[in-house]
Amino acid sequence: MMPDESYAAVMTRRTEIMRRSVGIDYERYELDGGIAFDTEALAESPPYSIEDVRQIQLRHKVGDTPLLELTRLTELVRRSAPAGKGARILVKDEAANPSGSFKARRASMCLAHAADQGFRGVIAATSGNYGAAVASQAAMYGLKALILQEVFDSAGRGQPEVLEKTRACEAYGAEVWQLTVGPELFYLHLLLLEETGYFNASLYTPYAMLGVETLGREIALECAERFGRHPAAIIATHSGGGNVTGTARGLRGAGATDTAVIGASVDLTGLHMASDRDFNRKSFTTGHTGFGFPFSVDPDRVDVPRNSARGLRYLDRYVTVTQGEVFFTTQLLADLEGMERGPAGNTSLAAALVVAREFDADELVVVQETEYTGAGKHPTAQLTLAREMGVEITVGRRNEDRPGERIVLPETVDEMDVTEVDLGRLRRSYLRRVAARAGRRPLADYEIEFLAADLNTTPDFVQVEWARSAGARQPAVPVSATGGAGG
Amino acid sequence: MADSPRDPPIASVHVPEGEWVEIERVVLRAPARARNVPPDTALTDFVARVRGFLVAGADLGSNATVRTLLDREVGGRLVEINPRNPANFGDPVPALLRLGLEARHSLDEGGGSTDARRSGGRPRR
Repeated sequence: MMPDESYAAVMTRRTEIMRRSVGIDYERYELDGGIAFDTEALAESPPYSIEDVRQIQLRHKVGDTPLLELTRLTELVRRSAPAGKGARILVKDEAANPSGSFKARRASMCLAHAADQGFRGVIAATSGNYGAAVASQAAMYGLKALILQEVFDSAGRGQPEVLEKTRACEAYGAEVWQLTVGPELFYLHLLLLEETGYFNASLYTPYAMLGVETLGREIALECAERFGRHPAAIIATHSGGGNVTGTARGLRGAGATDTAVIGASVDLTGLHMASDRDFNRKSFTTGHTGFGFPFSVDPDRVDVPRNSARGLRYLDRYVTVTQGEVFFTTQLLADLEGMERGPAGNTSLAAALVVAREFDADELVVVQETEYTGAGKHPTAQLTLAREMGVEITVGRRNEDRPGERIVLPETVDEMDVTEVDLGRLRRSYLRRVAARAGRRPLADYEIEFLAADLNTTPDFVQVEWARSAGARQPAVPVSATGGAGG
Repeated sequence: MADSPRDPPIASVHVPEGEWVEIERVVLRAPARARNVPPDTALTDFVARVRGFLVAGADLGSNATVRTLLDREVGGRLVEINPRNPANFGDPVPALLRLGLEARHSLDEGGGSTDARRSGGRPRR
C-alpha cells in the first residue's frame, strides 16, 4: 500500500524518516528533560579526526584556499579611521573551492559519510551554494544528488540568484525541484527522502560542521605563520549558524581562542520569509536576518532532530549591514582590489570595512569567505529585479534604507556603519521558546549549564531569564529550591 | 491552477519523445497547505517544476512523464521545451559605477583627509 502523502501524515512520520535518512541516532545524545543534549559528544561523533577531514577534502579538491590581504581597501578604511587604527583586512578566498564557495567544505563530509554508509544518493533542501556544493561533491563520489530549491513566486517570477543555482546544480548532474514559496519545501523533502531512500545531506549535521572546521583552522594556522599572531576578529556571514559554528570550532581547535567571532547579516527586517509577496522584494537569498534571527533563537527547527549549527553558542558579537552597503562593497572589491565576488562573503566584508576601524593598524581582521559571482548573483541582476518589483534605489544615508521598499547605496566607505544586534535579546527570545515547549518548571543544574553554554552566557543569566520567561513575576528563585513544574 | 507567464499557447504543440523539457506539478493545493504560511502565500498552490527527458511524445500542456538526470521518472504537466536558464546580469547600475570610481579617485588621487575628499566631486544621484 502507498504511504499516505498528505501534509499531516508525512509530518507525523518526520522523526522516522529523518532517522533513516541521516544515519545518526540522535536519541543517544539527548539528556533527560528534552531541553539539553550532549553537544560535544554529538559534534565528536563522526569517526574522523581533523587531519582525516583535511585529507578527505584535499582529495576532493576542497580547502587550502588563499588568504588574501586587501591592502587598498585597508588603506581606504584607514583614511577615515582614528590615528593608528584600521586593522589589516584579509579575506579567505573560498570561491576557489570547486563549486565556488565554502559550502564545498560543508558538503564534503556529508558526502564522505553518505558514501561510507552505502547510500546511492543524497538529497539537500537548499536554495543556495550548498546545493551546488552537494551536487559537485556527489559528482566526485559517483553518487546521485537531488536538490530542492525555493525559486519562484506564484506569478512564476524567479529569484535570479536561485535560478543560477538551478543551472549550477544541473550542470553537476543533479535533479532539481524548483518550488514556489513556502515552508512546505520540508514536507516535499521528507516525501522524496522516503521515496528514494537517499541520504539527507542536511546542512545541520555534525558532519557538515566538521567540514567547516578546516576553514577556521586554516585561517588560524596561516595567520600565526605569516603574521605571527591570530586575527583580532574574524567576521562570518551569519545565516543558519553553520558558518559561524564550524569556523569558531576550527579556530579554537587550532588555538586561536583570543580571536573574536563576529557574525554579520544583511538587514531584511520587516520582510516575511514565507511570504509570496515579499519573496522577490529581497535582494539577498542568504546571509540575512530572515535566517540569522530565527535560527539563532530556535536552532533546532531544522531538518534533523538536533542542529549542530548553533550560532549563539559561538558568537561574540553580531552586526547587521544594509543591502545597499553590500552592493557598494561588491563594487569596491572589484574597483579597488580587482576581484569580483558574490554576495555572501561581501556581507561580512561590508561589516569588516566598518569594524576594522576599531582595531589597531597592526591587527588582523579576517573575512572568512568569498563566493563566486555570475549571472543572477550580481548587484546589477538583483537591483534590476528590485526596480521591477517597485523597490526604490537611491544614494544616501543608511537610516533611509527600508528592506523591500528602498535600497540605499552609501556615498563613501566612511558613511557605512554596522548595527549591533542585541545578543541579550536573542538569548531571552531563545529561552522563552524553550520555556514555552518545556513548560514552566525548574531547571536541573545540567540544563542550566547546557543553556548557558548554548547561549554563550552565564548560568546566572539563564536562571534569571528562565524565571522571567516562564512568566513568574516574583524574583527568580534558585532552581534547586523550587518544587514541581508550574502551569 | 493560476495563470502563469509560462503557460503554453492554446494551439496544441506536440513534443517528441526524448526532448529536454520542464514539467510542472501542484504539490499541495492552496487549501491543503501548512497552517503556518502567511495569508498571501496561503492563497497560492505549492508548485514544483522539474526538468528531464520526455519519456513519450506528448502535447504541451498535457500530462507527461520525464526521466530526470538521476534516471528517475517524474510526472506533471508539460510546460516548456528546452527550458532556458533565465538568470542574467540585468541592467547596469550607473550609480554603482560612479561610486566605485569616486572611491578609486579618493584613494589614488585625493590622498587627503575625509573633508578634502568630500569637497570634490560627489557622485550625482
